[in-house]
Amino acid sequence: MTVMLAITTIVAAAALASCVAMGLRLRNLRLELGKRNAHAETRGLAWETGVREQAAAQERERIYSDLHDDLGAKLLSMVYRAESPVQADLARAILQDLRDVVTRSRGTPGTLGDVLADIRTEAAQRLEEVGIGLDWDESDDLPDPMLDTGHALHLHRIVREAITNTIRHAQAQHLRIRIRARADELLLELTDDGSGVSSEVSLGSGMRNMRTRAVELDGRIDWVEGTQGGAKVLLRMPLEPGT
Amino acid sequence: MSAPADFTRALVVDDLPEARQWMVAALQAAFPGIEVATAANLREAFASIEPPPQLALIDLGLPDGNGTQLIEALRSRGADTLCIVSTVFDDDAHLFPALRAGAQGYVLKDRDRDALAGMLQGIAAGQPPLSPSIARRLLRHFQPMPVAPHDEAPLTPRETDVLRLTAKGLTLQEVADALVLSRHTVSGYLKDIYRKLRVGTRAEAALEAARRGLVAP
Repeated sequence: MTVMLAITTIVAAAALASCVAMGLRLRNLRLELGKRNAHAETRGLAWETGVREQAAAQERERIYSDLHDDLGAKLLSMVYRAESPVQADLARAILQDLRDVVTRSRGTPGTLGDVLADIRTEAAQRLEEVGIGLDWDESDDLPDPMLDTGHALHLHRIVREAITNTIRHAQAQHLRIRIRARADELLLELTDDGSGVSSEVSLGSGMRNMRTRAVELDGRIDWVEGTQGGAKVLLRMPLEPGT
Repeated sequence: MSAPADFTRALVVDDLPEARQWMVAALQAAFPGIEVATAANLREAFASIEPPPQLALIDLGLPDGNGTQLIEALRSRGADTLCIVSTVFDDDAHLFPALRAGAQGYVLKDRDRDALAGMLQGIAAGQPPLSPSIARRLLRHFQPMPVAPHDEAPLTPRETDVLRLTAKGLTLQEVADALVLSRHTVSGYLKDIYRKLRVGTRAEAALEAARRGLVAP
């Protein structure tokens, strides 16, 4: 069982690494695309831009098929072979990261509200499958600014990672996600009723990643004792005035 | 909620053996006694639709083509097969063509068996799932165009309300509560929205299928 878990973790880490590599490839591709577009524009050849865009779109599709066929299939297989719902969730969370890379890089940009809606649906699904209740508490008067793809991705990942910690380490029954706006800040709190901060804080890389992402959002993230006996993750990030 | 429809014959199309097994198990849990044929690619699938199955669970990324082609072919033959997409990627870019072609719902392949069985029963009973991202795509799709009018039936104000709330991430029950409607009524609206999405695309789909040599024109 422990060996199985270790193997699962290694495969998961490898999958995640490839995922990140693909993400980088995608980013480089986008940079390259930007350069090429600029080049074409200076020459005033609109049709050429079209051709290049098409070529880039094809390349993107190819990367997507790679990801889908290879990583997607492996992760799916890990879900099917999981020995427990928690193990299955680990593979699902990586699969979700993969979905982000594949879909967000080509999806339409959205607003804060759109991103929160997606986060909520994902959270509800994940928690349901491991039997943890979700209490989603989003204030009605949130502004709804556009979020760029990078910011949306960071927000998704931070919440996903926090939920992973609750599922894997907290032995919680409930998770409350509360979202408020105060002054020009967004406050996002995840509070569980599990075994507290210490069991979650000892995690290491996951928390470091969350902190890095919070910095990328020009915000900060803190772990405190929760009001429900468990742990509370508090993310603060500045908000542009709503549209 | 109405009782699950009486399905006795289904087809599962997926190139991954493990996924096929998983889906067959979910179907059997959802509809006890159902007979399930399987296909690993489009070619095998096309060989298994005479006569058409009552229900088809179709993966989109197949080795020899896209599952949407199978949905189009079934529709253009006038088969009343309940077509459900099974996918790893449930974003609108992947699903929208399949929904336009006539899929009546979709499930994520990585959900656990009980969740899948529940979703399959729901779709069969006319409760199609709708994620916020698809709801947003639908809202954009049905937005009145300033120049060229859509050839599709526009959404009613109520259907638009349902989509707007779903796009915000509300569950079916929460949408029902917010609009002071029953879950059943909200499901009915969702079903109508799915139907409207297909209206005007059947002829297109038939032409497309003929063009690809899937059916005789």
